[in-house]
Amino acid sequence: MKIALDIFTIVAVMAGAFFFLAGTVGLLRFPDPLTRLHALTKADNLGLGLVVLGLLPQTDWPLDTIKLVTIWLFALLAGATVGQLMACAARRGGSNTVDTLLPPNGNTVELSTPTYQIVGRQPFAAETNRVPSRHRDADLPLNSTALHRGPPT
Amino acid sequence: MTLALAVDIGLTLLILAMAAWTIAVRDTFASVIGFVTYGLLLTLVWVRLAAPDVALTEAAMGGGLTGALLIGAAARLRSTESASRTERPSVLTRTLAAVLSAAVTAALAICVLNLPDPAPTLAPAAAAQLGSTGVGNPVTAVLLAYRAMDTLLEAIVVLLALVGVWSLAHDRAWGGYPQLRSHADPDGILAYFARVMAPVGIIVGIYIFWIGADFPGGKFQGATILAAMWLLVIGAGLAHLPPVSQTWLRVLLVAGPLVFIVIGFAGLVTAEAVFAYPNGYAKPLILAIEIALMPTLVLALALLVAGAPQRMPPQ
Repeated sequence: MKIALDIFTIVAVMAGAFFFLAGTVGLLRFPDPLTRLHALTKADNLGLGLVVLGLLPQTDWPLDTIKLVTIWLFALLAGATVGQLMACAARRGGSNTVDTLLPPNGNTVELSTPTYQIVGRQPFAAETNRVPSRHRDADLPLNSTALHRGPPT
Repeated sequence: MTLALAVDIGLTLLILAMAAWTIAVRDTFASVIGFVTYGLLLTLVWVRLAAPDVALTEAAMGGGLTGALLIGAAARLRSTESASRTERPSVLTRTLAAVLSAAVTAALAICVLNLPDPAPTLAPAAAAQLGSTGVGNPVTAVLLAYRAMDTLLEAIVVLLALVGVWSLAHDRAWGGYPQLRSHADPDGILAYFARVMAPVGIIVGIYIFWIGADFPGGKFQGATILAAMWLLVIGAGLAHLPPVSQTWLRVLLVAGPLVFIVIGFAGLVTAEAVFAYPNGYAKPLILAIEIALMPTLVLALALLVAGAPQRMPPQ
């Protein structure tokens, strides 16, 4: 029984490693962001899943076993979420720099709002009465009333 | 050659390659990603060196928090990047920088290679006095009993960094809302992720904070996780950052270091020295400091990532 479980571990972990390898090759070789994401999610979901599955017989029931499975479930959740967000950003287009990861609006945390640029390089929109181009379709335009408004509710 | 040694050598080579790439790559954003990867590899090294406390800190602060701060900085610098790329420093400057860096590395290498064997250590002394502090994790004992002054200064440095970030605010936004805000769809996938993840993350963060007394963990690691959860909820559009002029916010930010200082100087009266704890009261006092520091660190770390105020507070 012990030997059978060990063989199961070796086979499953190696299969998981294969998916990580395939995912990495895909990440390096595929032509555009969407296909690269596809390759990555295979590594995350199947690769990690098989490694966790393979390690289960070697863990102490119940705590370590549950911990390992939980880690895999959270990696699945995070991987699926980030994959969606990055695919959204990639479809919206843009260069391959921060722009792609941080689009002006949509399903993403916005770390690079145009207000950054206003502080360093130009006066507030309220002062020039000009709305920065990237703010055109933002839900909170930078005009004088918006400056005195509270947070969106 | 054993398998473990092969893994260690592979890890070392990867780290060296990652460090070189982080320095060599011209694009700021790529360099930041390199640095985050470097931090994650360093975490594995600390695990291999049987230092889980340091590994946890490196993963939370070195990889996670610093990574988030640097990505924010890279986004901020993006508009100036093409301009700065044309200004290449002179050969003399670059040579001097390279020589200086190489000298520092060489000095460190010589020091490490010439350490006496076995290396001098205070570990037995720290372990011997562990009972009098009431905590079970020697790292926590060092941080909050033997070298409490260092930890106090660390907390104050985080606070000063936050003041520094705030001082970058435009005059008209002073005391207003930090710029981090979300255009996320409240029914979108990020909101779903935040709803599932935040409750679990909050429990994990508090657990890591609480377990720090006896096992690897502690307030800095726990606070980083809690700050990340707060930012996740804000990023998903489920909550909003308060304006930085809020009184409760400022009180909580100052409370941690203040409690620490008060307890530290009370040691002059109740024990023999500053930051000495009276006999038998070490554990409750350490706990009081930790609990007071926790909100300070969570708020300070999250607000550091959120950046300078950008919008006016309500009139």
